[in-house]
Amino acid sequence: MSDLEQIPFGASEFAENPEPRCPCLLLLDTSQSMAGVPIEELNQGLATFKQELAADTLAMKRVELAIVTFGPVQMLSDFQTPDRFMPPNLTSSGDTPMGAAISGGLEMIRQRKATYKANGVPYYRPWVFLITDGAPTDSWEAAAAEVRAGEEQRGFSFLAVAVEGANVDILSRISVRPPLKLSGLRFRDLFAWLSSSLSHVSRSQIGQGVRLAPPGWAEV
Amino acid sequence: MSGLQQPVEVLDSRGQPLRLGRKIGQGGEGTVFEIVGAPETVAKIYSQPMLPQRAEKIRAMAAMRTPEIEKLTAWPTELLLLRSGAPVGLKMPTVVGHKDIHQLYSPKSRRSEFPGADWRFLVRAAANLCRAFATVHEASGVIADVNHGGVLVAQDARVRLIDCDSFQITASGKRYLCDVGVPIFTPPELQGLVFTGLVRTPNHDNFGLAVLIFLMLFMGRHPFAGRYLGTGEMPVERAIREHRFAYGVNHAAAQMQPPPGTAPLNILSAPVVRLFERAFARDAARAGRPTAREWMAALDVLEGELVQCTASSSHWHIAGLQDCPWCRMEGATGVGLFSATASVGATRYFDLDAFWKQITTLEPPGPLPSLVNPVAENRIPLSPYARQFRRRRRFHLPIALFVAALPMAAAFVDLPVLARLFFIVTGIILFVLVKLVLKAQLSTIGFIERERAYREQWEGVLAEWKAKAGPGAFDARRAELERLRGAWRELDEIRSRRMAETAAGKEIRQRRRFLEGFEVADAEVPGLTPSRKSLLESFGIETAADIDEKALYTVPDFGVKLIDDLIAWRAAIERRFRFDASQPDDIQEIDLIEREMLVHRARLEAEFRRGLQDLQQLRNQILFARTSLHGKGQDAYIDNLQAAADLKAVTK
Repeated sequence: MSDLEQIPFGASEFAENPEPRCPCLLLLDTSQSMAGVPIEELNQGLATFKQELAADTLAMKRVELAIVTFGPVQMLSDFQTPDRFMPPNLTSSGDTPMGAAISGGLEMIRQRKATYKANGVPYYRPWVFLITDGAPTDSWEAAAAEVRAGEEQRGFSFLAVAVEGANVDILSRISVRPPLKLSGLRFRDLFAWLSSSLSHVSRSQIGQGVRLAPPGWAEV
Repeated sequence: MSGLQQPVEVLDSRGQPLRLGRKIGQGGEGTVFEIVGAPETVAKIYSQPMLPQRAEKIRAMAAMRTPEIEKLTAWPTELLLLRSGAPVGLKMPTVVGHKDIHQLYSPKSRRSEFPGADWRFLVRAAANLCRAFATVHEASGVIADVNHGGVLVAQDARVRLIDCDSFQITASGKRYLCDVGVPIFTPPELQGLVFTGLVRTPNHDNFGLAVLIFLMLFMGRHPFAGRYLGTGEMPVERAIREHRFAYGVNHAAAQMQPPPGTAPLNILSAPVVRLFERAFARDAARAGRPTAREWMAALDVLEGELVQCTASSSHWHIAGLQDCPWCRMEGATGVGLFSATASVGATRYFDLDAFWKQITTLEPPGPLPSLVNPVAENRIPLSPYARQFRRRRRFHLPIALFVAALPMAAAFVDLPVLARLFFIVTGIILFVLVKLVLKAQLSTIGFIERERAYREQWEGVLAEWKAKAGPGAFDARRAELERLRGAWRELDEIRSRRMAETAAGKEIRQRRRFLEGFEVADAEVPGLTPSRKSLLESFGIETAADIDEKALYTVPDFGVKLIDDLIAWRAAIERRFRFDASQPDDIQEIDLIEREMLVHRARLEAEFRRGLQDLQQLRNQILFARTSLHGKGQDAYIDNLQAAADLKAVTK
């Protein structure tokens, strides 16, 4: 550490906790159609998510969460470890600008990776988790191309979850992996699964495939 | 195996049944249970049927136990069987009061999980880890799957190796292999190889050992995780394979730089530096890496050479450095590396001035960019609807004139005056009527409504833009932190004031302590019988310090005379009191103030840390909103301009 060396912003975060990072981005549909029970269940699911992650000390240091909601597109939180993550209370309003949410979210991932690299912190392949009950109301073709390119370069893994009412046809044109259909409103099961999967990944070796538990919350 | 949660009957090696209790943990291979009635041991039950080879290995391991091995590891003590005779698991000692090693080497968890641990502690724990490795190696074992999950550390820096059943063991000429490994602890010569069937050596272990020691001494940093200056990705495994030790003497040639804000290798004494260079050298596979014993000796010497930093009591480093490496790191990053809560009055480890730099280097999002574009405002072309409207309206006058012209023409024919007048009037009426009819057909209502709708939409979008993309939330949080900074500075003042008050109270307290030295039981006051003395005691009046008029009047049967005598007794004692300013004051009082200050400081410190995170988040959220809302804002702005321009054009 020479005297003249610049310390980039964010260095304190990594000086304090230099563990490899396992970033996970949630893209959540909060459009009008989610109003009522669905959004309530989603909020409950996010609270469960935090609780379950908190039980795993290693995951608490390695997993990083970010949330972007759409309807309208908004960054609810940028990447941060679960101890700092406060489960939000989402409300529903507006249309479904899914394309803009995906593009914005993928940009956040690019920036986060650059920060990891600048700070010499190893990282796992990021996860992007899209949850929607509708169809995009904006143009999504460019976002779909970004998703395809990113998956091909192994830049991230993109998973789409279709809630009842979602346009599965468009989702399967956005996501390279086949979209999973949420059975009923089992958001809590979904997030419990996501938490244990992230715990699992954060204990695994970077760059090695991990066999995840079958998603019990999905329709077969 | 479905019987896993409620295991069927399990027998120990002598055929005695064991009662399994609570489930303690679950790993990839099996589940660990308490054993009822034997709290010093636990049972690991495998989830897959055990191969005969594995059962034989456990038996061999149990046979090779020594007191040294038992102290440093959770070595299997016996094989467990089902009643059918099939092997099902193993028994091993319980390890209590130990925590995962990653809790120790990451500064964040170290502060909470190992509050007393300074760098001496880390050096000691690293040396103890070497003892454990040496013991296994000298018993002709190889740990093989070295990783951060296999080492536990106690609050006294003692170390235990766990998951011993995966070690590579040689017993009675037979070798039992280990089929797993963790890449970031795997030496370059084994990177990318399949572990199944691979014979491991202590020299392989010694790579993983060096990585673990590095993690412990360098605040959780991996020796091969650095900033790669070339292009493309440089995962840790690849850096290991390509010998790119980020802190080593050859780091520049390897195109690697240590991460920012980390300590350099030369915070270690030269012998320890040489050990790291040897462990991570290109020829280490052939030339041999430092053994656990070599490390042990060097680390023991290192610990003896450490000196305390003059500025911070929680900082220990080698002598002869220009400045304390931990002060520099904490100063550069604002992060407290070691907990200083061990003793009251310890020097503060939270350096607000250093931390504040982080806040000031965080660039504010700046003023809200405008969505309004004056250039566009002057150049907005009319919409096709408005153009069509105007085109159609241009024909109104010619049509009306043409219709009115017919009767008017008749007025020029040679007719009686009255008839001429009639045609002129008819012509005018027709002109007006035609104009009115045409105008009614071409209503501007649509334009008015469009203008209102777009204006409202624009107003809505603008409000959202201001709320989400404006710097307000960031600036407010920043101002709040400025206020807290003021509160932090006032703490020193409050502390000195409290200390001064304490000094002023010093005489009062000294006097009280003096008076407390004289017990009522020993008082010689006429009429104060032993029974009255015990009555006084039952009223809480035990020493001269407790004597005062008000208290005495509450005691039944005490006359004025007796009360006066008692007060005189106290006064006589008090006259003998001499205040001695040089006497040390009541340590408890000062402790109390210091503790209170610590609590205040800790609370403010937490506020500052949270504040910095909030600022970071707010800044990113605002910048994100500026990108994500800009297109929508521009569209709403143009739509509104268009509708307004159209309306203006059609109502002119």
